Amino acid sequence: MSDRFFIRLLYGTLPLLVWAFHFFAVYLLVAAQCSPALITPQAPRHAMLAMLSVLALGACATLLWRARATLRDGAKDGAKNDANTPRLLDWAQAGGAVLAMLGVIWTSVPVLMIDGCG
Amino acid sequence: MTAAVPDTLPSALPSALPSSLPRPAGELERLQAAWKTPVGWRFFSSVNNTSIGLLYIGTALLFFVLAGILGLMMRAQLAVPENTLLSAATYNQVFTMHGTVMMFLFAIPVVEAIAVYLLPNMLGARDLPFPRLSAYAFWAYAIGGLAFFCTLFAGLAPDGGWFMYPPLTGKQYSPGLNADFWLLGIGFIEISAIAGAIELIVGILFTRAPGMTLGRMPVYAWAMLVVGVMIVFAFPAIIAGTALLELERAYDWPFFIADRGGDPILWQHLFWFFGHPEVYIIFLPAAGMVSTMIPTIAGTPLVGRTQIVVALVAVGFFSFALWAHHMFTAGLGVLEMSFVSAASMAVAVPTAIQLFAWIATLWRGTVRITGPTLFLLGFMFIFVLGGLTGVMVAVLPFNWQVHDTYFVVAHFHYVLIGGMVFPVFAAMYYWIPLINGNRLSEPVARWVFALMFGGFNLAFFPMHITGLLGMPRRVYTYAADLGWNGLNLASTVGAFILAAGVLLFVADAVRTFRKVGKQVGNPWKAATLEWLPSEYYNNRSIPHITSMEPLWDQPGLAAEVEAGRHYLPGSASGKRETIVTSPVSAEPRYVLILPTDSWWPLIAAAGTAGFFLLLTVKMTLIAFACGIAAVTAIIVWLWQGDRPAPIETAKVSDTLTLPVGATGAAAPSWWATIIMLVVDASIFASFVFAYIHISMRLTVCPPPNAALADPLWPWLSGSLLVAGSALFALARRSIDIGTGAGKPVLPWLVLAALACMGAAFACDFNGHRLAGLEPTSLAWSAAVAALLAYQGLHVAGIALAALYLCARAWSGHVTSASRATLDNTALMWHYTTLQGIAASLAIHIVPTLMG
Repeated sequence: MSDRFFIRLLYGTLPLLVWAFHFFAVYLLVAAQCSPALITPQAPRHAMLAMLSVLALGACATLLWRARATLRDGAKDGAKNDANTPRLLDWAQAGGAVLAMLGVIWTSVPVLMIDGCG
Repeated sequence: MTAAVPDTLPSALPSALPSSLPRPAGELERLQAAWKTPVGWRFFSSVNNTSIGLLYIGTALLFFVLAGILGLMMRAQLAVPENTLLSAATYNQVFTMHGTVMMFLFAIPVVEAIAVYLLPNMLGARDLPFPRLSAYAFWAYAIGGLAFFCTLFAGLAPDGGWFMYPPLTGKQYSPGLNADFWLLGIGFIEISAIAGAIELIVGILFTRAPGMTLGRMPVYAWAMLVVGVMIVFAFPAIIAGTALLELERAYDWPFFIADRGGDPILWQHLFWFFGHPEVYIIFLPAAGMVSTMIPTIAGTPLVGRTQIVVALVAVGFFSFALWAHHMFTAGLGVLEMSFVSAASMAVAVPTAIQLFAWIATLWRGTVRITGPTLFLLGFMFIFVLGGLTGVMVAVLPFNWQVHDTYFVVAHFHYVLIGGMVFPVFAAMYYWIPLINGNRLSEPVARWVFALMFGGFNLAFFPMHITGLLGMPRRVYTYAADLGWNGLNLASTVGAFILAAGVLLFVADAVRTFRKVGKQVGNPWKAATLEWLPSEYYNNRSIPHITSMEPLWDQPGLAAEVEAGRHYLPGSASGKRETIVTSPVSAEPRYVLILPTDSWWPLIAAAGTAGFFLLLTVKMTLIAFACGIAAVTAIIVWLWQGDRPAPIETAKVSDTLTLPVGATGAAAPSWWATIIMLVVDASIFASFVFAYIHISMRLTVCPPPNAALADPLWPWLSGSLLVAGSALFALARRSIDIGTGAGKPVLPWLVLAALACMGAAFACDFNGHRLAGLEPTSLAWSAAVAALLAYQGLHVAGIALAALYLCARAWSGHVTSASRATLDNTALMWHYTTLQGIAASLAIHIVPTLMG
C-alpha cells in the first residue's frame, strides 16, 4: 500500500514540526520553571530558551536551504512536473520552512524582552 | 503485515482510455442494481454518501435555523434597556444553547456533511470507504442533537456559557442536570465528529481516482484532509475535559476545585486546546470551498495553488499554539502569554497567503457576478475585518481591555459568519444544482445577499463599539443611561434583517427542490469531478486523471466516463465496490467491496444516544437497555463484515486486473484503527496533562495524605501487559502458519492474553488501593484515579473485543483471507499495553522530577 507515504509526509511537514517542537518546548519549559515546586529567583532561565531557539532556527534554515536547492534542480528537470507531487512536497518544505522560521523568530522575541515569571 | 497486493501492478497508468467500447450487455444494469437505494421509509436505512450527505446537510441547516432563532430571542431581549421579555435564567440557557448549537451542532457538522456529500464525487470514488460508519455518525449526531436541543423546552438546557467554565459549572454552582446534558451530549456528539473525520481521512488518502496524485488533488480535499487530522488531535482534549468535569460532578473527584488542589484553569486549557483549533476546523473547509469556487467564477486556474496547500497545512499547525489566547486574563505567566500572542500573529501569515491568492485569481480572470460570487465577495470583506480584529485581540493589553465584552462577540461573529456561513451559502448556490439539476434563482440571490450582508454588518459592526464602551457579553439586560441603547437597537434590527435573508433563501431553496429534476450538466463550467454525470454509484466509470483541472484539460471526460470508457465500468462482484489507490501517487491497488444499506447503524446510533441522554436523567435501566441495544447492533453490523471476498480478482479495465480486498496495512480498516488509536492516545495525553498540571501546582508531590503505589505493582503490571501482548502476537502468527493448524489455537491464546491483561489491571488497581488512593480527597489522587480508570475502560473494551474475536474464530470467520478483526484487535491490544505502561511511568516519574 505504501508509496513512502509517511516519509514523504515527514519530508513535507518537517519544518512545521520543528516549529511545533520549539513552541511547545519553550512554553512547557517556562511553565515548569515557574511552577511552585521548581521556581527559583533566576527562573525562567533565558539561556536554555535561547539555545532552543537557535537550534530551531538552524534546523529551519537548513531545511529551507535544502528545499531551495531541490526546487532549483527541479525547475531544470521537466520530468518532475509530470505528477506534481514531488514539487508539491518540495514547495511544502520550502514554504513550511519560511513560515516556521517566522514563527520561531516571533516566539523568541518575548524571551529577549521579558524577565521573570510574571 | 503483508498485504494481499501483488507486486505485478503496473507502475504507470495507461495513456489510452482504460476500457474499450462496446461495453458488455447488462453491465450498467448490474451496477445500478448493486447501488439501488431504497425508497419510502426504507430510505433511512441507506448508507451511501449521497443519501447520508443530504440528510446530514439538511439536519445541520435545521440546527442553524434553530440556533438562529435563539440568537433572535437574545437580540429581542437586548433591543431596549431594562427589557423583561426573557428572565435572566432563561437568557442564560438561550445564549448557552445558541453558542453550543451553532458551534457543535451546526458549524462542525455542516462542514463534515458537505464533505461526505461532495468528496467521493470530487475524488472520483464510488463512495467513502466506511459508509455504515458515516451513517452511524450522522444518526448519532441527529438523534443526540435533537434530544439535546429539546432540553430547552424542559428548562434543562445548559446555562453556563458555551465553554462551560468551572467553578460555575461545578456541582456547587450548577446543581441541576443542565450542565450534565452539555457534558454528556457534547462529548457524545464529538465522538460522532471524530468518526466522520476518520472516514474522510481514509477516503481522501485511499479512494482517489487513478492518476489523482496528491499534487493534482483538489484544494478542497486538501483542506478536508488537514481538517480531519486537526479533528483527530484537537477533539480528544474536549472529550477528556468533559469526562473530567462529569467525573467531578457525578463522583466528586475534585479536578477543578481549588480547595482540594484542583484548578479551574485546567478546564480552560483542555477546552481551548480543542476550542481554538476548532475555529480553523470550521474555517479551513470553507477556505477549501472558496479555493474551488473562485477559479470557476473567474474562469482561470487558482493562482498560487501550491502555496495555498502549504498555507492550509501551516494554519493547521499554528492553530494548535493559540489555545491560550482565550486565557489572557486567566493569570498565566507573561512570557507564556507572549509566546501565544506571537503565534496568534504568525497564523495571520498563511491565512493572508490564501486571501491574496484568491484576490489574484479574481484579478487574473473574468468574474461573473452570480449568487456564489456575491457571497464569496461578502466573505472576503467580512472575514478580513474579523481577521484584523483577531490580530487586535492577540495583543495582550488590548485583549485585557476588551476581554468578555461585546467587542469579542463582534470579532468572532465576523470570523465565523464571515469565514464560514458566507462561504457555505456561496457553496449552496454553487453546488445545489447537483441535487436535481436546477439552480437557485439569481434575482432572488441578489436579495438574499443584500439582506444577509447588510443585516449582518448592521447587527455586528455596532457591537465593536458597544464592547469598547464597556458592555460585557452575556448580560441579559442593561441600564438605560450607559449609552448603549441606540447601538443595541441597531444590532437587533440588523439581526432580523439577516434572518429575513436566510428565510428568503430557504423559500427559494424549497421552490427549487420542488421543480422537476433535469440533467445536471456543468452549469458553472467548473474544473472539478463532481460535475461529471452522477448517480447513486457516482460515476459510471472511475475516471483516469491527468490534470489538476480535469474537466478543463480533459474535455471529453464526461462523455467517456458516462460511456464506461474508464475504470471499473460495472460491478465486478455484483456488490458495491470502489478502487483503492496508493495515498501519494494514486496508483490502483485493489478493489474494495463496500457494505450495503442497513438498519444497524441507525439502531446503534439511537441506542448510543439513548444511553448517554437517559443516563443523564438517571433513567438507569432504560439507559442500559439502550446501551445493550447499541452494542448488539454494532456487533451484528461488524459480524456481517470481514468475510472473504466473493471473487479473488476483478478486471477493472481492458488491461488491468486488481485483487479484490486486502489485509493488514493495505486495508482501509487498518488505517482507520490506527487513526482511532491516535485519537485514543490524544485523549490519554490529555489525562496525563491534567495529572502533570495538577502536580505542578503542588509544592510537594505526592501531596500530604496521598502516596504513590509501591513500585512492585506497576512492575508486575507492566510485565503482565507485555506477556499478554506477546501471547496475542503468537495468536496472530497461528493464522499466518496456516488456517488448518492455526485456527483451533487462536482463541485459547487470545483468552490467555486476556487473562494477563486482566491480571495486569488488577495489579495496578491493588497497588493504588494499598497506597490508600482516595479520588474524592484531593485533585492529585483524582488525576491518578482518572488515568487508572481510563486504562480500566480499555481493558473492558479489550475483553469485549477478545470475546468477539474468539466467537468469530470458533465460527470459522477468522482466516488468512478474513483477518481484519484479528489485525485490528491486535493494534488495539498492543496500544493498551503501551498505554498501561505509559500511565504507570507518568504517575511515578512526575513526582520524581519534582523532587
